[in-house]
Amino acid sequence: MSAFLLLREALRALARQKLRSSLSTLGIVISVAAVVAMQAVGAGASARISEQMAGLGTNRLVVFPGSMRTFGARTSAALSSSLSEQDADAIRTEVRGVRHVAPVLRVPTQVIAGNQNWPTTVHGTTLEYLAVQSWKTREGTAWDSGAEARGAKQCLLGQTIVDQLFIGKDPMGAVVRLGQVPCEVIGVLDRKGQGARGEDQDDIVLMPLAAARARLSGESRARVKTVNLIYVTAARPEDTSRLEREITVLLRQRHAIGADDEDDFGVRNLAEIAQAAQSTATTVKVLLLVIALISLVVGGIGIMNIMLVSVTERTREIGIRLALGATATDVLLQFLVEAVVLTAIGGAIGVALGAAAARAVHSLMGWNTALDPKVVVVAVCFSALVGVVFGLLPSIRAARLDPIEALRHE
Amino acid sequence: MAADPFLRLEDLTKTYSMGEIRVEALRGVSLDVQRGEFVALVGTSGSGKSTLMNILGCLDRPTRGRYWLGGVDAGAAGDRARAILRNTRVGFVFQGFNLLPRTSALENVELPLMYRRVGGRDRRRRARLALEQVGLADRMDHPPSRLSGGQQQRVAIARAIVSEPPLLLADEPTGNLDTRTGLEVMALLWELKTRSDMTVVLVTHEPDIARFATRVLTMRDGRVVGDQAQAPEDPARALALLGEAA
Repeated sequence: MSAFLLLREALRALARQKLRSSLSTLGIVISVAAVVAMQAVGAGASARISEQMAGLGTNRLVVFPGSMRTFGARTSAALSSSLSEQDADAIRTEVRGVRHVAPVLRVPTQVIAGNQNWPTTVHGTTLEYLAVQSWKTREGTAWDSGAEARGAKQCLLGQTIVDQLFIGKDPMGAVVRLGQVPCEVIGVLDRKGQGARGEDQDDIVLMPLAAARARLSGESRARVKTVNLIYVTAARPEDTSRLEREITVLLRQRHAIGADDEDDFGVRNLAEIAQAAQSTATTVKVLLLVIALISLVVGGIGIMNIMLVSVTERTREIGIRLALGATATDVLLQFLVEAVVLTAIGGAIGVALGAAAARAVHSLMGWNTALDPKVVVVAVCFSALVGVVFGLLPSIRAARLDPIEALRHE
Repeated sequence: MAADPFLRLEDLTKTYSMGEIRVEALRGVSLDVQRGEFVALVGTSGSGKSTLMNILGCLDRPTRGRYWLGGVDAGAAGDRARAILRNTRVGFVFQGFNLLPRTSALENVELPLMYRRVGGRDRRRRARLALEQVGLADRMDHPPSRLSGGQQQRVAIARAIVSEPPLLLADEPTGNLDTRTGLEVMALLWELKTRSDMTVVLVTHEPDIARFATRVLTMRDGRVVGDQAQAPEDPARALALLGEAA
């Protein structure tokens, strides 16, 4: 029989048993719908994670002082930092492939504006800090390099500070007091929201490092200009691990640490966090795929069961067809095409249901969902393949029937 | 020397083994049938006539012996070759009609042509023609459940002749029908046979039906024990007589 006739006959045979056909393909429908919906929602979630990761900066290293993980009496890094501005300069000049270096001096300070006040942490840093954090100003601009060099009393406010101190007022050009020090507001930072540990990233005041050191920290005359953190970004993300190693070597040298002694600083590589998140996502994907495969196999067994029943019920029909000149191949193809049509239709309905479910999730929860056309094609093809695999046994059984026995069958 | 006969059977035997027991359904059948003969195969049940019928129709293979169908060594043919022989050279009419349920008369008649890969338009045209020949032009779209027994058997006959096979095998075609309808079916077979060059082999145990054949073969215990040529009666006349009696 021609392909068209096979298809038409299969559709007619299935239409004669509408309820049975739809029930037997339900397993395929549900599993394909689940796969498609999970994929769409999962891809949306994954895209969101990637966005957040990009926000963290995957090419970013954080150098921090001391090590809180070891036992024994040690100076707390919070009281006396082992890192200095000179370390930051050395990283800038001696390590290849560095794009930005931003040392940060953190000073807890009370901010006062008019009759309002708010406790926050002033970050004394360089202009590169904004580039490292991929942070932009919402109003105004950062200080210029001249202001940075002379330690001008200018600051950028985080959104939280504005919300607390300037209710219904424009902060631009206002003068706030950082502790005792008056400081001109030259800009407001974009809202950044919660950080990875739930902290409020907008509770911040940025000012030139020299100004923070001279006016706020009270250590302006110290020989070693300590800092609390040094942010480093790599020019190319794939260099991040190499930079981590070279910075460690450089700082051990600068801090004169013996070969057997531990580092008095740490380097955190955010690329590793990103990789960990990525591998978690991959694990979840593999898990979903396995579940999908299992449910498709279960659906396929349902199809096989129904097809076996159908072959038994239609033994006489098979006998008639054989008597009229159907070859064993004709009979085999007839039942195989029925199984494949059944599972392919199930797959198609499943895709439609899954897409609808993804859309519902999108509109109800506001999650981004992305339906991948590749997944749609693979889902339908795979369910058709399930039809072939699980339709084969019943079809072979039908094709092997003896025409005389089959005709005698009641 | 005469031309090769249409059917030639040489010492056909068929043995079924059911576990330990061996059943000899045919014990050496030899006969020739010429093209255009109307043969009635009679005998009690268990005489081997159904087995012989299955072999003639290429549904089964003999255990030993040879069978030529229109010059083809059908007894030695493989499964696929026999399927093609059934499709092109044999038309079957069964006692129980054997139409596909929930399938229109037209589609039932189209079936043999489908397996012959005849294109849709040609297929429908030929199926309609066959149904017209059996007098069912107005019932083509009806499924078997909406046809009477006689009508169903007419559809089955249309299906058997649609591919214009040289051999028509009818296995108790009147067995499920009342006398009048049975006579009508016989009259139809007779008419179709006279119109074409078709050879008909009819299995029956009713002498009433065998009288319409040109030759009667009697079987007993797997052998042909009687082979008699006769002047056939015309079923149309029998039908007319039945009408007068009523």
